[in-house]
Amino acid sequence: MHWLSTKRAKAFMLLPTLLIYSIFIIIPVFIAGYYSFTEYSGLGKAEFTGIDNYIRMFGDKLFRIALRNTLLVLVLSTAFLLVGSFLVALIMNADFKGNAFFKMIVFAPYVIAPIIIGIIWGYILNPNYGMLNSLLRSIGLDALAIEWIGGTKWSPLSLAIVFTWQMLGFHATIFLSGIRTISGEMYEACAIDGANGIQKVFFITIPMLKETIIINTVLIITGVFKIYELVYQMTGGGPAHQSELLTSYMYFTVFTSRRYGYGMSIAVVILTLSIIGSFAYIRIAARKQRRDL
Amino acid sequence: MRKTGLLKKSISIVSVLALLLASGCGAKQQETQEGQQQGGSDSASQEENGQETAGGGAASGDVTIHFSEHVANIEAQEPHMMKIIQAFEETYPNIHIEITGKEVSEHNTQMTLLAGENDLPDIFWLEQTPAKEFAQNGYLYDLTSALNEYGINDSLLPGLVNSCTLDGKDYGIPSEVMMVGFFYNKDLFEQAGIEKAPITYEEFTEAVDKLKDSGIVPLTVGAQDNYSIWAFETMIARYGFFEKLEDLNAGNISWTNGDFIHYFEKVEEMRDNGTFTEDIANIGYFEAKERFLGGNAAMFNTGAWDIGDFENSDMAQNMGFFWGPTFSDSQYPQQIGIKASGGVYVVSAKAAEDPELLDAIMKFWQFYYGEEGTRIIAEDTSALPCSKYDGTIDTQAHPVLAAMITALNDDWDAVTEPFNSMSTTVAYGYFDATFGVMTGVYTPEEAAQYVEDLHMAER
Repeated sequence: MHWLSTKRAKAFMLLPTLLIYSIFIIIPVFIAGYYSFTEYSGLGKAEFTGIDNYIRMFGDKLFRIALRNTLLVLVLSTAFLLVGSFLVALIMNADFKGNAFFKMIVFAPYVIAPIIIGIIWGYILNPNYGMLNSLLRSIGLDALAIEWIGGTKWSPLSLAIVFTWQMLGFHATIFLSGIRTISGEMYEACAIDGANGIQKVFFITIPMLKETIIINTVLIITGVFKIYELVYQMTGGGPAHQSELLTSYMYFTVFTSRRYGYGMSIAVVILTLSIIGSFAYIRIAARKQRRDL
Repeated sequence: MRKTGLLKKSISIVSVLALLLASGCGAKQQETQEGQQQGGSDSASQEENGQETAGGGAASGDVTIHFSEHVANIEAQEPHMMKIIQAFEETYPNIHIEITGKEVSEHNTQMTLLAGENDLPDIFWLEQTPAKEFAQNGYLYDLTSALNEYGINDSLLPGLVNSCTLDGKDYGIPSEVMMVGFFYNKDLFEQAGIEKAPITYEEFTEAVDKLKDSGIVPLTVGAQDNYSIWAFETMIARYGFFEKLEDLNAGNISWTNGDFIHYFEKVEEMRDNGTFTEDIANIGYFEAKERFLGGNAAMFNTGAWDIGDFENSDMAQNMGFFWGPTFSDSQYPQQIGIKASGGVYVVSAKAAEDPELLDAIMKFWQFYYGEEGTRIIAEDTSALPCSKYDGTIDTQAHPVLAAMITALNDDWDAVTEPFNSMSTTVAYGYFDATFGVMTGVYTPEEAAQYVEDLHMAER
């Protein structure tokens, strides 16, 4: 079987995957990159306009709103999801009756289609007849019964909450698999030294999960840059595009407004931000890890 | 048993529709009509037995036509289409029609993507502006001679002939009579002490005040579907949209001109006056319609395509229609209403390469716009047909349709939908701007500037 280990054989076996990946991912990225330098309505010939689309982006108020909203959702979701999913993973790792049921409940939103989640939460968060505001008003917390969706302020927070709810089980499962790799002997040794439960978490679990935290963070960053259905269903991007995220604004620009070239330039920015965000975080985390060692 | 005092009124559609549409939108879509109407009558008669080949080539085997519509639930939203297809397939057993439908924005997206892949369906629906773009890029079949050859131009109401032309050639056949305005609930109006439908802006405001005083939501609108402001298009037309169009496109006039600012100011006044649904930003067109039909709002802005839904509702007998408010601070014609062709059906250029398929397609359109298809549209499904019809409508059984026919026949001048005179980018920009003012996001000046920026980028 030595021939299977040769570079040529490996390359040959990778070829089908590489081919499919190139056709559906790599080549479209380059095509989008090309169209981002053109004026194009999606039909006919594209007219090369250089970096005009990128210059236009600086003056586009709606793009700036979408970028601001995306960054807000990113920061909030990262905070909510990293902390929340880690805590949920700790519970999932505990030995208690009903653990399997708990895991199922936590993971369930992840397998629901995002468009359905958007519909469900659209009803819950509707400021006028939504369940949340009705509940808040019924217990006298009228001040908290805010315009969760449909206004110009709180939509990013609502989107972050719903995204967190949707992804919590997935990220908790990744944390759980990381926790399971930590040797029990370390906890035992720590217990002998007199550490309590909280100290074990802070001095063993979290430091040992650095790789898992990096994976989860990168997945959250890339996940936020892909949110579309939640916006589409919960707010429609409105009012007047005030709750758009970059992806939904890109979709509107390309398919509704039929500014294909400009939309592709937004897509390129999304891709760039996503790559920069992920790599920057990985580099920072890796550098910190090296320093700790 | 019916009361003897209530005479069953009947309205002959052929005279009224033909007359009004001829005087209305025909004026704006006249270019090649004369030349194309010659010699088209003979093939119309060929359709009578249903089996003749109108266009020449005889169908040798089974043919399947792939048809894409712009509504998600065709059976519910366009029942006439399903009935016509069924009747057509019974008449032409060798021709099958596979119809699929998606919600309008999804449909538009899909057609653009399929054009890029050169995989368009054989026949499909398009809005007029994109249809011209599709035609310009060679994706559509030039229907000019076929419409005459198969007698379709002879069947259409005169004002709807040449609904979508580019360089004097026909690329689309009208899918519907575009009539938009405000539908209102007569019971709620009466409850609020409003005696007649408002005509002027002042009367409209007074009606809104009375409705609010009676605890009734005046107008339900859904901002989540940003295209659903048809009646407001009439309003901007009353502020001189068509008169300014050429200069707007040339850049001689900006969207921030005084008249358009006045239009946006009126929308702002309506918002400040509590005209719109409180949660306008959280509902779409369909929810807004549900609220109107549920008696939870007094007015709803929509068009003739909703006649069927309205007729099937409990409030069919208590529904009225008006064109929307006129404005005393505008120097432009006020007694105008959108009475024109809406979207169009088109034939893909690829499908037309196959003579047998093309013949089957044209036979279908011949049937659709012919006597039988028109009868199904007018009688079975209570919609306004685009073609001449010599039958009668029972106005007791179809009160909403009767109200629309009355409006269609009034002496208000017909104009086309402004949407069809703008590029898609600018049109949706205008929609967004109007909804932006409705929801308090934009001031009138900001809204006008927003559209101007989009238009300027195109000039």
